[in-house]
Formats: sequence, structure tokens, C-alpha cells
Amino acid sequence: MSPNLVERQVRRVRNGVAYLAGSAHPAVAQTPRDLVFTRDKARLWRYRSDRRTVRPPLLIVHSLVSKSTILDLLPGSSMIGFLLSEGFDVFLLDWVPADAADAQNTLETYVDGYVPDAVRAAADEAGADELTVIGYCFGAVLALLLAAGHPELPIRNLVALTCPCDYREMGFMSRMFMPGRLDPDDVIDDTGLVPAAVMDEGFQSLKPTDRVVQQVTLWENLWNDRWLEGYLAINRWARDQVAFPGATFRQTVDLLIRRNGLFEGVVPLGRRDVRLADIACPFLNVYCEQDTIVRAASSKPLVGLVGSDDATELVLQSGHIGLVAGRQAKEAQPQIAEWIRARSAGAPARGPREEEAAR
Amino acid sequence: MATRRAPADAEADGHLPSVSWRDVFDAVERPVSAGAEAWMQSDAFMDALALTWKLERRALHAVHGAVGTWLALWGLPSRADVKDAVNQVAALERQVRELSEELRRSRAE
Repeated sequence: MSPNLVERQVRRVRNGVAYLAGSAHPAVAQTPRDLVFTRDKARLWRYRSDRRTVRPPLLIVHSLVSKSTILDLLPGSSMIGFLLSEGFDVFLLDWVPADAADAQNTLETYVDGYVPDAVRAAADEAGADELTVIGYCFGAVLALLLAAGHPELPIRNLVALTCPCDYREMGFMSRMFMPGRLDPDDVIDDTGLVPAAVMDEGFQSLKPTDRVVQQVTLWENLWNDRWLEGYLAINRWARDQVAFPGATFRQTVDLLIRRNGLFEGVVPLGRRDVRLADIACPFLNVYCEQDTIVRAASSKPLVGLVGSDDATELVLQSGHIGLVAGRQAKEAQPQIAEWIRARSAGAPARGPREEEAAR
Repeated sequence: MATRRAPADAEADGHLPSVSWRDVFDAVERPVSAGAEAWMQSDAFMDALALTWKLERRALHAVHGAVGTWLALWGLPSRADVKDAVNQVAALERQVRELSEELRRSRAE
């Protein structure tokens, strides 16, 4: 039952004081997990579950531009929690925020180094022959390049969640780096990183009145404890950007933005050309009509660029964040889970640790 | 969570549609937001922003350089000195990573 006007005002004052005092911080990323592999700033987590019924395991590759807490935001609003409840064995590859030691990391450092290592480590840990790889945002770019550039890896299915492809359609952030405007080194600092503040400013620029709208929406719903918890969790994540390695950023501007390599289907990496047409595994491209960060028009061409005979497109009426957290995610995630389940087997997953425990 | 009554439903009940302060805000904000977004997507705005960004960065470098020179006169470390130290530590960390990687590979072989 909705509280009456007086109750609302009392709650609004109470929550407002807590908000202003900075004491209203919901606990995020609470799903129990174990760190199973680490190399430099790469971390591979396996989520605990006693109901792993779907095989192969899932490996989620997170973006380099944000923290992975968005994937496991709050109990009841967690993509990882949902996948666990569906019987999947879930691994997450995320990154400790980059510092000066990571400034020279290139796309190859991730695509030919950390991510393949994590794929092998996850397969070993789960005792699996294959994995389903899911990439979110820039993590989907890494996952695509991985699948295209490493056909030897045991990738059974590939899922791209809001993956930028045609950078001409990415709007403000990519157009600012077209020739004649900004060069990558204009935003890279003395330690070789694109500072977190610059990343934050870039995202804020996509919707200039967003901060005002957020404050008004906050005032409107300040009395609602449940709404406020979700708002604070998402807002804190959105403002908590991380620095981006400068060398990777230079390549992103050159190869992906200016040369539009993904849309052209060929990205030169290391001493070879990585071709999206070499992706032969079942492929699901998920993108969102309301996405202001990775626009639908940018993601849309992917299905026609991969070489897979089983390439599917899932278009959702949500935003970039709404796909993985919040109300709209509850409609989106079952469709993604169903696609993966249809391309998975039902044997329970059991890794070396479980085998040992069972003995 | 509060549910806002759709004006059409209210009219169907024989009531006048109620307009909340939020409806008024949205009615003002939407065209303002759309206009601001369209302006920010224009070539003229982006060119101007890029130029401003570059000038601001050059000015900041000049200020940091001047402050650094002044601090050096007093024998105090400047921002550039701190950055140099950070980069040296980072370079050492990268070397340790490379050595660890070589060790890992040789063990695997």
C-alpha cells in the first residue's frame, strides 16, 4: 500500500538527510564468489552455486571503462544472480582499475593475453571443454576480437551485449575524435591514462540535462526506500568511472573510430588481421533501442558481419544499463538465457575442486 | 512506487486530468534536452569544444610548468616530479610483469 502524504514527507526528510550525509550507500555485488585466476589487473571470479545444471559455463567479459558491480548490483536486480538462478555456472572476468603500470596495455594485451588466459582458466576450473562467452559494452568488443582472432579457443557460443560496431553511429564521443578535432593524446594524462574524470565527462555529455533530471527524479521518489536503494546503487556506479589505458585508447581511436574497423569487418591486431567473418560459433547480438551510450544503429550491423550460420539479433526496448540492472532487465535477461540454454547441454558442471570435494 | 494516473483514463472516468509538478517539469525539460542534444551534436559545437579543450590543456601545462619552476627554486618537488616518480614505478612494475610472464612460459615449456 502506498504511504499517505504525511508519511511520504517524513520518509523524504529522513532519506534526504541520509543522502546528504552520504550514509545511504547500498551494499552492491553481494553474490558469493571465489577468485579463481588473477594476472596483473585481470581477475577471474567464479560465482558459488549449488544448482549448476547447464553446461557449458558462462564467461562474462566486462568492459574496461566501468566497474563490474553493475552486473551484480543488488539482490533481486543482478544479472549474475539471475543467470545463477537459471542453473548456469557463471564466471566473470573483470579488471582492477588501470593505473600507470597499465598505460601501455594495448588491445593485444587483452585480446591475445588476459582474455584467452581467463578462458583457459575458466574451462580448467569448471572441468569444461567449452565455454559460452558473453561480452558487455567494450567487453563485447574484446570478446568479438577474441572469438575472431583465436579460433583455437573452446568458445561454444558468443553473446555481445550492447557492443559498439559502426562507430560513425556512436555520436558525440566518437565524433569528437574524428580527424581535425581531438587526438587521443589530447585526453591522455602524464601517466599515460585517460583519466576517470574525462571518461565521466564524456558520458555526461551524451545527455546534457541528465544530471538535472536525475535530481528532480530523486526528489520525486525520495520517500520510496526501495526505489532510492536502486537509484543510489546505479548512480554511484555510473559516477564511479575508471581510467582507461592510453595505448588501448590510441588504438580504439585509430582502428575502431577513425578506420571503423569492426564495421569494415577487419581489425589489424599484432601482426595479423582479425576478421569478424572468422567467427563461426553461434552468435547473439543484443542491443537496446533506448541506449544513449552505444546506439542501436551502431550495434545493429554485427549480425551481418560474423561468419556464423547461427547469428541472431535481439533488440530490446531498454537502455544501456537497463539491459543488465533494473526493471527492464527482468524482461531482457530471460530471453538471453533462453538463447544460450537452447545452445547448451544439460549435464551438470563439475570442476576439479568439486571433483576433489566429491571424492 | 507511486503510479501516475494516465490523463486518458481520468477523462474516461469523468474526471479532469490532474497535472502534477513533474508533468510540468517534463514538458519543459524534453524540448530543452532535445535542443541541447542537437546543439551538442552539431559540427560547430564539436569543433569549438575541441579547440577549447586543446587551449585549456596548453594553458594548464603552462601553469604547471611555471608553478614547477617556482617550486624548484625552493627545492620542492613539483607535479611533474611526482608524475616522473609514478611513471618510474610503473615502468618497474611492467618489467616485473614481463619477467613473471617469461618465467611462467619457461615453466610451462
